Amino acid sequence: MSFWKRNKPALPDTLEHTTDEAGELSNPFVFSGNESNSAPLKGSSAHSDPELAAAGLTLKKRFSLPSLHRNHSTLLAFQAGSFGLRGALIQQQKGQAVISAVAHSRTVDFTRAIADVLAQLSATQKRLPKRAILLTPSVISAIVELPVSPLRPRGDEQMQELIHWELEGSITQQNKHWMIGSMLVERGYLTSEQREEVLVELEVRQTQGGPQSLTRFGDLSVQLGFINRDQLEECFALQGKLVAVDDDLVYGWKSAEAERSSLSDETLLSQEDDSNSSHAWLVSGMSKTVHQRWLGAFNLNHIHLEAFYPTLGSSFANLNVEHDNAQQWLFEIHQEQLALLSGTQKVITSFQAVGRQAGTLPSVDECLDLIGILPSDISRLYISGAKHNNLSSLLQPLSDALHIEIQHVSAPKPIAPLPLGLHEDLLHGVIGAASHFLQLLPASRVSPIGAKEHKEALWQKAIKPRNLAISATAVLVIGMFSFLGWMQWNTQVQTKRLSDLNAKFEKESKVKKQLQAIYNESLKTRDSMNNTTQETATLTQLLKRLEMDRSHRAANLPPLLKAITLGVTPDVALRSIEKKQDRLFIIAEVSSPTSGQEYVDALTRWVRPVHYQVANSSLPQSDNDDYLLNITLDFKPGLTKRLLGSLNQREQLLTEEGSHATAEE
Amino acid sequence: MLQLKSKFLSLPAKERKQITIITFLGIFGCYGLAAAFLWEGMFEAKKMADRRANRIETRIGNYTPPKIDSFITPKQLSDAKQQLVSAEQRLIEFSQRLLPLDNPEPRENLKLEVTRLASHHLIKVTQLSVINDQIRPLPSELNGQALRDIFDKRPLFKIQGQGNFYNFISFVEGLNTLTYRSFTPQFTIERSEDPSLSNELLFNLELQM
Repeated sequence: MSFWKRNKPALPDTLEHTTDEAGELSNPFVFSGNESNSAPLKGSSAHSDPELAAAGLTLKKRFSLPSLHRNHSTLLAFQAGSFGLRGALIQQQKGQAVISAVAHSRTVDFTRAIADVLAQLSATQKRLPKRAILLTPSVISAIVELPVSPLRPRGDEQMQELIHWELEGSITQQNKHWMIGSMLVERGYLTSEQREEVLVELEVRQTQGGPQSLTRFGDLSVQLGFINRDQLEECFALQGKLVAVDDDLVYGWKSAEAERSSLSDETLLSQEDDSNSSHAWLVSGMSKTVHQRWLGAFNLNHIHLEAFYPTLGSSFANLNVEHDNAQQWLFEIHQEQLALLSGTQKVITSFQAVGRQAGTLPSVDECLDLIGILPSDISRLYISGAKHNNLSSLLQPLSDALHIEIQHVSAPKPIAPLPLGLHEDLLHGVIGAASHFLQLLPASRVSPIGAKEHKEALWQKAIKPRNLAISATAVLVIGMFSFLGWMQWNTQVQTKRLSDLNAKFEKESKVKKQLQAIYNESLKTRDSMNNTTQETATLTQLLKRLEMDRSHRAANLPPLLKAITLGVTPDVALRSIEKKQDRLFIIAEVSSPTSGQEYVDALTRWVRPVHYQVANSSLPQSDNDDYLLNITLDFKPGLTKRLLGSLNQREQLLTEEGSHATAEE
Repeated sequence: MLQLKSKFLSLPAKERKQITIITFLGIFGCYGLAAAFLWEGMFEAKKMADRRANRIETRIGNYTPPKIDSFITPKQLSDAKQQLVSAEQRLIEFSQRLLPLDNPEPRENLKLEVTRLASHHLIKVTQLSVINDQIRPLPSELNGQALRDIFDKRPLFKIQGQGNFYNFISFVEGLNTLTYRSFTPQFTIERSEDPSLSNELLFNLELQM
């Protein structure tokens, strides 16, 4: 298993050098303004650190009634620090959290330290609970004023953004807690006196200058023989895991105002509009990288880490259990920090924390500087911290200076024996945090940070007024622009339709014009044909008449006149001859009707060669002895031929009409 | 952008609300203008398209192509015209031997020829007159009605005379020798009632020129 392998701290050399060189009063870990140095660190850590990689694991919870009952009454509470990792098995008894077992590990590697603690605790109880909380100095707490009414809480993102502005500087300051000197002292490799001696020597060397002025705190401690190189490297490794070098933080928050029944009018009014009001919030924050590293380490040990608690302030939560005065004041003494908290049973109303000078105990002046002037109505100040032999040398002068009673707060004795060198007072904060997690205390006494990101259900996100407004706006905007798009599309469609119709109109108009032109042309052709045919017929008829005039009518007259005289006998005497067009009328005097008819008969024969014939003859009654014979001659050139020609022409016309009707059908 | 955002966030809530309202009103105003512009364009395009469709339906939709007589072909027309030209050409050729009408001189010369012919055949011309003796200009193109008019209402010579029957026949035969073509549409021959003219016949002759 690779995660059991102890990794070298993923800190660059410059970080180690700066840390040691600057001494313990400087802050060698301020990397927030230099992204070029921090970015590779984050990237490389995320890929090579199995704890960070395991932060995203989801552990399956085994559901059973016994485990459910046990889980609700038992808890693993861990406390981390430069000293290593402590784990306590917490049991709920009679409404109080009681430590039933405690284990301690000095292993630097988080995963291995947790495994060590779990192994030790397993010796006292076979089945350990699977849920845990963690107290760590990496979590800082503060009371801040936010423009958010406790009656109108904002969403997580907005709250985190507001808290980020307030806590960003405090997180950077918190990195001072992880200085080499402090860690060496807390891990027991260096005494407070030796630390002060090293600092003095370091100051002297820096004053003298030269190459020796560049010596770092850790190296100087090794040179002076206080620690060895392995101990220094161990602290460096732990430092690399605990120092926050990123700007990405996680937060927790609780309202620092009283419950609704005792809220002020201003707070009640802020439920409607809190834009112009500010409200106290107990907030906490920590580096997300450290958060993920711890979470991954617990995941690798199959422990459900539920919450991160701050080291500062957790003791105040436990204070409520034993003391239920109206207003409580607690002065906490830690290795590197001093804190002063005050509040009621329900909430914390004041939270101040400052760094302290190196040493076993803080000086009275340091304490007085932080405490300042206390209200006159309080009579007791509680002090929390590891019980020290010289603690009375601090409490008495402090009590004299403040003119109030000072009481050291002691943790209840655990059921099981404590590991060697561990005093129960150091577990006071653990009990407070466990009591808070088990809901044995009011929620606003401490502000923990959830280990798992609280993810709201999709439907919960969807029905938020802000999201509803955004969705409605999006739908409206999409609808509006869809309408614009539809109009634009329809305009293009109609324009194209118009263009097509124009093209169609032009084409069909052209076809219509062409058809009309062809039809007009055909009409003209037909008329022209008719005219031509009629004209030709007229001219042909005229020509025929003219030819008739020229040929027969002109040429036949002299022979006709001669033929008329050829048949004249002594019994016949011509009186007159009259020609009217093609007819000739002859009047003759005959002696007898017989001679007259003989003349007619002869005339018929003589005029035939010139295409004349006797059309009629008459013999009217005469007054005297002579008879008048009236003869009519008619020009009939080719009478038979004409009759036959007319018949043939009629048959031809009938044939043409029949074929024309067939073609039309 | 971030500066604008920070400036906006630093403003009082009332001013932020005012700016937000003004911004939204501006956006909606711009949207309204754009929507109105696009709507007008779309409406106009649709109206024009509908109008054009109506025009097509009205003007072309009910159009029935006319029936064209396919039996009348250009070749037939050309043949007919060729026949007409041929007929006209024959008439023109015929007319060249007829008495010209655009000039009185040929007519007078023809009168002289007629009287000489009558004298030659011992026919005594007692009267010679001409009907339809108007002068008609020659048409520029000899076709159609103009060509037909040449043969219409032509001069008619009315001749009265006296003489022997056989001389009259000779005279009629001699008419074919005239410069211009003529024929006799009608004539009368009758005996004279005058006793002094017992052997003479009276002739009334019409010559169509």
